[in-house]
Amino acid sequence: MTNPEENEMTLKELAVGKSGTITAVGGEGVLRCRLLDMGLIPKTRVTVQKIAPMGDPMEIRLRGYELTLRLEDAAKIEILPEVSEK
Amino acid sequence: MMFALLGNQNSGKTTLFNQLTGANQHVGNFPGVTVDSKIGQMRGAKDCTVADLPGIYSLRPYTGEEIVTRDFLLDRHPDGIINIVDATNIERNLYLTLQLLEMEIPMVLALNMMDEVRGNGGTIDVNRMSAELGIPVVPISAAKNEGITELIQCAVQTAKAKRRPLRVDFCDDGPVHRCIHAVSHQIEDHARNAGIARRFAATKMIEGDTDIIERMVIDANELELLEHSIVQMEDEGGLDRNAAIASMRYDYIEKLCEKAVVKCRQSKEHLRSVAIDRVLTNKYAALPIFVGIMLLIFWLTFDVIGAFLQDALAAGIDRLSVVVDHGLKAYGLNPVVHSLIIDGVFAGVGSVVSFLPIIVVMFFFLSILEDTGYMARVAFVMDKLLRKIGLSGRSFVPMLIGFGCTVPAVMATRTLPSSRDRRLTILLTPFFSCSAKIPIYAVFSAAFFPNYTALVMGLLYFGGMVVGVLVSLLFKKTLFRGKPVPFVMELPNYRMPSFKSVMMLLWDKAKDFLQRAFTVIFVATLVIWFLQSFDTHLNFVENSAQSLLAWIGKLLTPVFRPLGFGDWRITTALVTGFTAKEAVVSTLGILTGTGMENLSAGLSSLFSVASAVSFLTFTLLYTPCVAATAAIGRELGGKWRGAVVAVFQCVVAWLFAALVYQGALLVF
Repeated sequence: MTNPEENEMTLKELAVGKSGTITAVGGEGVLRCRLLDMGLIPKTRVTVQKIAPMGDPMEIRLRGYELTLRLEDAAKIEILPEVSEK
Repeated sequence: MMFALLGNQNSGKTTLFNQLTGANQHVGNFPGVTVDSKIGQMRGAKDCTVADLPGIYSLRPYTGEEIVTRDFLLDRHPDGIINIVDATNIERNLYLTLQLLEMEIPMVLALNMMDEVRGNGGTIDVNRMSAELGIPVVPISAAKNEGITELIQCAVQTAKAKRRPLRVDFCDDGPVHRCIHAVSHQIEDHARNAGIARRFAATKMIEGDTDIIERMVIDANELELLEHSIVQMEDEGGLDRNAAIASMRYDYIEKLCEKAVVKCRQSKEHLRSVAIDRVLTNKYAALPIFVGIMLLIFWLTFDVIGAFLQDALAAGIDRLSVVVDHGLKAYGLNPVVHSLIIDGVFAGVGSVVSFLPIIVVMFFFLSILEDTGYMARVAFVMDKLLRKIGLSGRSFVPMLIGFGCTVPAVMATRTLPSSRDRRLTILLTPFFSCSAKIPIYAVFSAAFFPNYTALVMGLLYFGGMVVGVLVSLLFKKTLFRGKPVPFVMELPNYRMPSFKSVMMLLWDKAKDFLQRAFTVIFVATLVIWFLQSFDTHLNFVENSAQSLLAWIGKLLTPVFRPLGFGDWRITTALVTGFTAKEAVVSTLGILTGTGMENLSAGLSSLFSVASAVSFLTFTLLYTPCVAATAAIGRELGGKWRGAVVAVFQCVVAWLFAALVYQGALLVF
């Protein structure tokens, strides 16, 4: 295992079908509160389900439901990707 | 007693409201169907009313809906809260529940969609959950009308006994716990004086809810002390205040669910949704399917069902008017009163009623798209297109309906979750050229550009959208400078729409249109009748060329000279276009004396190529008809706002038509 710090990426960069655990939620004001309220908080596991046909926004699954958010907003969420089992 | 019905969007709140009251209210699978709260009498419970409040996820003071809900709870002091929770999505739904509990209002939890949970092999220990949360929990299925009687009984008992939630404290020992308790103690007196529950006041204080802080009247010294506690919590816990509180709530919910909820491994409904989405939001298929669905809806609404109903209604009114006409003539009624009844009242009623089939049929399809959850997918697929003009994908469908008819398009904006998006979308829909303008385009292209009809049509539609985009960019920079509500939207599972709720919506929309629009449209048609039938000396005229309307047309002519319309007949036709766009062509036919058959020849004598292009531009952009203006006024919250929009459209149309005319003079 490498140091987790080095693996950190943003939700925007997570590939379709991959999962990760949120480490920090950035953004500010209304957007940030909305993200927190929808359950996107540190230690939450999220899976990327799909990218919209035009390449934006993305669809993720967390806490047993589907949520869509724009890539620019997803870029403000830092995650630790899960190492996929081979 | 008064109850507040609260819950997340897509939790089945409006369905439950319908079951509780039997009132006319719509349910939507699309986030935020309920914009203004409705109140209904609760079934089987004497003197108990229930208010259907907007679907919200939190009690933060950021969106209009959240503020409306919070203020309702703080200021109207409901006797009880019925909090509906989607049991299939329980974690996120309980997040609002924990905030509501803090307000210490007697409360009952309605666990909706329990049938779905059980059907998938999951269970929820209702007693355990009730004990943990300190409030009664009632399992229900709003769609199947199960558990509603029990819910009503339980809610009434809880409110009658003034049984407050037994628990408001959901934090574990730690920095957040210490901070909330420190703050609670410091603000205790202020909260009591302001009539706000202490724990609620404390968490809102920490979250920085300025409105609550103002209500409590806290001086600068105390604020500094409070701030110190909060900063200490942030330092010790490593999370900022907003994340710390949210995280505290979700931590508790996770623990609660571990104790009381056995989740199913995979739900049938979710698997089905994923399978449907594989097609409907497919990278290549999504757009063609969406275009196909919209074309089908348009075709059915405007060509097949709507047109059939419209023709049938028109035929009925015509027949009645012929009968009345004969009757009145036989009776020898004064010709002026006769004209008032036949040309005024019957024409007025006819024009109002003619919109009804389109509205009903259009909303039949729209409510199906909405209730199934497809509308949320459209927003997902189309968001990228609308983002640049400051809107989100959710505005796409209402705008598109504008190509058919502006009236249902404006009414459809009711489903948009933020009032900013709603208003901006309403202002843009008139730029999507409605189908009633097609005859104008057809006649003019036939007369001036016989070989390029399709190109002219295409350019007009496209031009309308371009101007719409320009106007929205202008609005974005001026009137709507505020930040748009973030596009963080739930994609609910696909569900079968319920026949009952679709019918309730249709009834609601039809009634709404008839009640509110009838007066405005009716009065407007009578005014136009008056102007057409009398001259400046208030003598009854047979020839409309001598009428007040023609006089107004002549007065207006100088205004339109820069657009190339030097003839009063053109301006008169434009004025009649306010009642209905179809009237523009027929008025030109009457005033040129050529009738509809030789209208091309008549038009050639009135217009040059340049002024024809300018006229097309003007009719494309100028004020929507009176029915649309009434709908706009209604949805923007004031008739005068409708008038302001109409004037604004005229100004925009004038500017662009002048530009086009001056440009065309150089070319042709």
